[in-house]
Amino acid sequence: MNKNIKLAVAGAVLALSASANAGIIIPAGEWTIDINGNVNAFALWNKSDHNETVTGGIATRKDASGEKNTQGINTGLLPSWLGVTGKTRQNDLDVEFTISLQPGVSDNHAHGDLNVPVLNRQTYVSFGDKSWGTIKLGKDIGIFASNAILNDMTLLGVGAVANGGQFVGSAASGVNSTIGGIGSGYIYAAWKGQVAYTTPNINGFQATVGITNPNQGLDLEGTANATTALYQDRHGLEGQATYSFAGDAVSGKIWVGGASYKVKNATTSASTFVEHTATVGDIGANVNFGNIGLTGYYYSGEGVGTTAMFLQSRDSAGSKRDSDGGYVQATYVLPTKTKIGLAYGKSNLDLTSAETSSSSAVVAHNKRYTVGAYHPLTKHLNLVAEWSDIESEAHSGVKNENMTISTGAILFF
Amino acid sequence: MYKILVLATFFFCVSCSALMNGQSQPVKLIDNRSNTYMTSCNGTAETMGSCHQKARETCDQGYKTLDEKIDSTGMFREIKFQCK
Repeated sequence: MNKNIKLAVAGAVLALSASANAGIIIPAGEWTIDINGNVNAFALWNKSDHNETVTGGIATRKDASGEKNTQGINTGLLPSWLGVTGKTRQNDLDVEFTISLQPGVSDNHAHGDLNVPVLNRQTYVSFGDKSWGTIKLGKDIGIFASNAILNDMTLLGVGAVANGGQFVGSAASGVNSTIGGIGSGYIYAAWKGQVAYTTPNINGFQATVGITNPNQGLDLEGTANATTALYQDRHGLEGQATYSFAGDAVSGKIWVGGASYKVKNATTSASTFVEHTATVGDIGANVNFGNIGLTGYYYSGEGVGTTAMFLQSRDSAGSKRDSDGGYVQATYVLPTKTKIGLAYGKSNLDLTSAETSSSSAVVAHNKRYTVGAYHPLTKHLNLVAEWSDIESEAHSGVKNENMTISTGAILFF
Repeated sequence: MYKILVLATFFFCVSCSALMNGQSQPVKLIDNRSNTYMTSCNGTAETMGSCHQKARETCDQGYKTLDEKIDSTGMFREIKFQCK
């Protein structure tokens, strides 16, 4: 047995009452309350190389005066987080609730406290039993593509800083999060109202299916009169199946997922409505052996757009655009326990047959390279340093590029 | 100037020392009779692969994973395992 592990085990024997959960555990009658979350902040240096119009691009642009450099202080891809979870066992059921809030660490208002709202990403209740599974009702991370972001090494770092292709000044500070690898390898799972059922874990196999709020993001489709005000025919459907394994030398996870939405929206005329079914599927794997970790992911869809669900998903006549993408990532843990990583991701968006590529400002692809170092200064405090290079190219051939260097820390509790 | 140089060197060495000795999240023995352990691999420096690597290092004869948890925020991961 490794000497350090032996010492850690010996220490743990002396503290048997300590909970395995990372949060702050408070016994409260029949309930166990877990206060958990993180505080993170990063210094960012961003350089933009062009100032082109790329609709749906995520790379930043030079500002209106032609300045290419900007700096800021911001939270990373994951905002700072304060979550409260309560758990109890009643009438042979595991019952749990979670409510969480996500503040940022910078605000560009003169007072520094007015422009950036505190987010609310989780409000849900769940109940179930290991014998038959769990039912969850409320808002939590979307089911489709959740494993793509949960395995992205920039999730607790910075990654891309883009803010919808806005000018550089709006990207490096005064927003609640950066976008990591979102839009350059996967579609954002987002935070969705849902009713979901998760099976018991059967020898490493587990599946989740659910109905989701169908009214999110419909105003981002790309048609002139896109709106969230129309009635949709049904709930969204999302699902994911995972198989986890651990052997003598290798551990990991393989997953497949999918989503289907029936979407109705207005086109160039506010009285002309087109309805289509948007579908998307994905597959991914994460494998770890020794100090090496490898992750690969791919998705393909029709009418789901790019970066976020439905973003630029249709042309002006309401026809569906196809999209696909994926990322690969390799990490290695040094003897100092510092994890270093390299990632490459790309998201593609096709035009419809009615669109002309030579004149279209719609993004053809967003792609990203990231090199990162992640160091466990203590068991609850990680230092992070990253370099990312982002490119957004339109179908017309014009492109924006930016480079971001970030360094900071994340404390989780 | 000399004092500043000494102080700067001191803080540089202290920083290097901390960076050369990262701290892993511990393995906890939760049931002595069944030889069952639990460890977390939260945050960004560790991954679920780290949890299983610690299990391998704890159990000379291999281990069986009893439970594996990943929360929906991406911050918290843990496994419960039993040495063979």
